[in-house]
Amino acid sequence: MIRRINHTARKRIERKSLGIQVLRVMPLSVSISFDLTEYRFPRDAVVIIEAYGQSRNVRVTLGAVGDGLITLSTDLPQLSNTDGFHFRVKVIPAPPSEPRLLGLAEGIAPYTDGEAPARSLLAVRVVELGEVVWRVIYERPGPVLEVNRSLIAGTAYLRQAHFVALAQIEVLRQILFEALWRGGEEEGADSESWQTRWIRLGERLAGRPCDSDGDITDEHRDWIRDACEAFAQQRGALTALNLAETES
Amino acid sequence: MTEVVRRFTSAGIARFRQFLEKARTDPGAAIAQAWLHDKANAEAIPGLVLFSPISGTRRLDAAKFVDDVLSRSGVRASLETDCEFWAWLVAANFDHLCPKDVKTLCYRVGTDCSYWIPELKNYRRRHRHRLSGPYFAYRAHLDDLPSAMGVLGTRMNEYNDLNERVLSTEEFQTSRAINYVVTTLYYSKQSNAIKRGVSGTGEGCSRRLIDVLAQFALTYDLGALTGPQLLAMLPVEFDWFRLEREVVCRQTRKR
Repeated sequence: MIRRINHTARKRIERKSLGIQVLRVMPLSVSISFDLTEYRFPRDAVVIIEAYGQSRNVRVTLGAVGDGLITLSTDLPQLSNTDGFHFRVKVIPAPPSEPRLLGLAEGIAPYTDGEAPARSLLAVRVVELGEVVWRVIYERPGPVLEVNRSLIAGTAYLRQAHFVALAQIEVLRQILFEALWRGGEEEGADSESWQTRWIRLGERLAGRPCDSDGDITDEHRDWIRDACEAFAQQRGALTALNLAETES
Repeated sequence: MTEVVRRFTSAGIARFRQFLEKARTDPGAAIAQAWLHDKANAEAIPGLVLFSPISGTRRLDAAKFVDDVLSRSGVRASLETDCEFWAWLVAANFDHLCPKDVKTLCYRVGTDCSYWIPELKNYRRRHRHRLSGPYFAYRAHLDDLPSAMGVLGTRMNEYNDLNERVLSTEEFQTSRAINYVVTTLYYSKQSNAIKRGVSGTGEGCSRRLIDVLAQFALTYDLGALTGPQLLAMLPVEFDWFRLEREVVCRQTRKR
């Protein structure tokens, strides 16, 4: 299992401290509400927000940390939409000090106006995959389920009994394994990392906690197996598959 | 000669894929102009014409060509995300963008279709497309193009390891400082080409640079650093490429 240790003393800014809402009127603007009080950054440290994605990186300096409460709106005239964009928040010392990171948050998916602040665990993307029907890839914000663009049923296939029974459970198994293998718990860990959220899901399914420290053992494999079995049970995977076969 | 710019229909994309598959092994495979303009395969983008085919040899020329097309379109934002448009534009300029193997006489298409039909939502692959890749790099560095020649100065029908390393990391792709460093280290202004010996994992080579920069990104806000500042932070192993003496360097390193 890969363990990453933060030797740089930068603080991981947790998602719960960062309110970022994109307002979908032209020009695009973003409403920001940060609460950085718990991190005790120097008052004159500078807060920077970057919108990145689609080969673009828009950087806006929000000003000094001050008392840690930052509320403002800023326009993003360089962007015509924020589809696929994520945000990065950095806190660095005030110039002329060298721009060493004091705090960092990455891969933040913004809320859009009218959207409830909930996040999907698994993003789905339609791509060209040759003869492969689906695969899971891992990006910084989390895992992405890629589905072949040429699939006649398209993403609707993901809800069909065949996929639920034969693939969804394998998707869960792969991601839980990857989450444990990558660890992803840095010193000063972000409780909102994708690994943490998936392990929490696994714990709910398996009905017991999982110790994600150390190497992957048989105990971890058993935990993944139990989570997958509980998931299959919840979905009634075999029953639904048999029913679909009978109907066809 | 003017030509109406089009975007592939789903039938056109399927046909283009068939062509790419065939072109890998068949020296006789060619794109017939007729099917590029057939309504079943491609639909016209109203009011948008090409005044001349793509010209030049470098990725920068490809980027400028696309920028010119999009600036005249009036719908830049929607075309930038239109995979079928990008695929048609590549197909219409295929001979210019895809070299042929001197031995087999087949197009060097490769097995990854994203060089020809972009995967714009996949950040690990979208930069590979022969036209959208250079275009987005060009747009990101429009006000300082000389610093981006490390990724834009190479030949448009090639895609080298340096392109892949820099462009596949979003933070690096758009960073002024990193592109300045890449260009300063690896781009020869005398020969207008990437210096010899850049690719690889050895001391001072491109993969090593990306490793070092990734390490820096954990500690520093790279966006707040200027190119010269970042260059000065690099370890001495990169001094080999800092000056235009790559041939001497390679000979020295071999000893």
